[in-house]
Amino acid sequence: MLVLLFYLGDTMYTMRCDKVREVAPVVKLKEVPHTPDYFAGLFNYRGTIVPVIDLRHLIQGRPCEMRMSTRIILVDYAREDHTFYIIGLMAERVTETLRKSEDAFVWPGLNMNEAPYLGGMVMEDRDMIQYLDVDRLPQSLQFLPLIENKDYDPEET
Amino acid sequence: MMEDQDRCWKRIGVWGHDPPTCPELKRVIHCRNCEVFTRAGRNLLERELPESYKEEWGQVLLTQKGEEPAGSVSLVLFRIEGEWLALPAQLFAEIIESRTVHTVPHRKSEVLLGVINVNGEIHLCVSLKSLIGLAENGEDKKTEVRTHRGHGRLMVVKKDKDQWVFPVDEIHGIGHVYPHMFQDVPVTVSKSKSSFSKKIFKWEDTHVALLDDELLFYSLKRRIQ
Repeated sequence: MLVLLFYLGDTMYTMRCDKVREVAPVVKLKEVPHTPDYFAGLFNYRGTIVPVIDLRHLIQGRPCEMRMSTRIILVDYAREDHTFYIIGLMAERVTETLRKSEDAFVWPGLNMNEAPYLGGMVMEDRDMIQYLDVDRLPQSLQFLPLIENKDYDPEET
Repeated sequence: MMEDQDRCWKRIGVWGHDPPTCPELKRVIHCRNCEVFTRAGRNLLERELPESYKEEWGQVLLTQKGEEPAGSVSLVLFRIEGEWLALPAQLFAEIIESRTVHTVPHRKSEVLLGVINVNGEIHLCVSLKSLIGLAENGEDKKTEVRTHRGHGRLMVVKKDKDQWVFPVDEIHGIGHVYPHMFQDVPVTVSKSKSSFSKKIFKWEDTHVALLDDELLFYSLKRRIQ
């Protein structure tokens, strides 16, 4: 399957491409006060307000460097009620994709309560790339009203 | 960042002044397959992000990504006198610079201008202008025509194994036109005998007539024979 490679600082990460809707350049984001530092802001993505997460801030505690290769990966994620939402993930050096077979994905069996979305590894020659599970990511981002508050339905407004 | 980079592809690679000497070329054949070159290209993206770039892309991403309607028609747009005309792009063999047309003795016709050398082959050079009947009203439009920037070219058009060469005053290039953009030619025009226009469409600020290629080449053959 096709996986997208990206960097956070000097570490390479990867995610599956089938959830990726679009890779967009960094745009001007609307900052929202009193949100966690890793929440980069909101932006209008083709008519929908999409929250953007600074992945480097979330995982490494430092914001992404603003470079041309820093991009917002727009991914689809399913809510518990099986409706789809879009979330933007900002990462560095989002320039390459790779084809990987299913058996290249390894689960070392780490019990990561803090970051359940970072459990897997992808074997690449003698190296391994940390795998980011997009499906598990939104569960860890508890401040997003779109995810947690089930009464809030953006379709009604 | 780029200054201290060794641009080996220009020194010992395929873009160098001397014959390439890089030992890696034995393996990768061309510099563009080499990791060093790829890495240098990727490094170009490690530039600082200008603020205006963010603004610009913000505007781009605002707009809905409309699906382009399928089935666009590729047309070559060209100008004869003051009229913009179009022909399907698949008819075109090539577009060349103007060159000498050799007249054919004992064949004096308004339509047949002569023969012309195109890549070593002799082809008939035909005046589309007189065939369509644009020549007469050319006089009063001359001043307007001068404001156009292009220059004369020759269109080499292929139809049923025949190749024709048409001199035109300007060529815009290939335009992609969607079927819904086409409008019918007003009845008063299309009924007149000399009209070769099949459809009309709006291109930027001008109306362009799509020529009926079947009719055009049919009457061309009859006029030449």
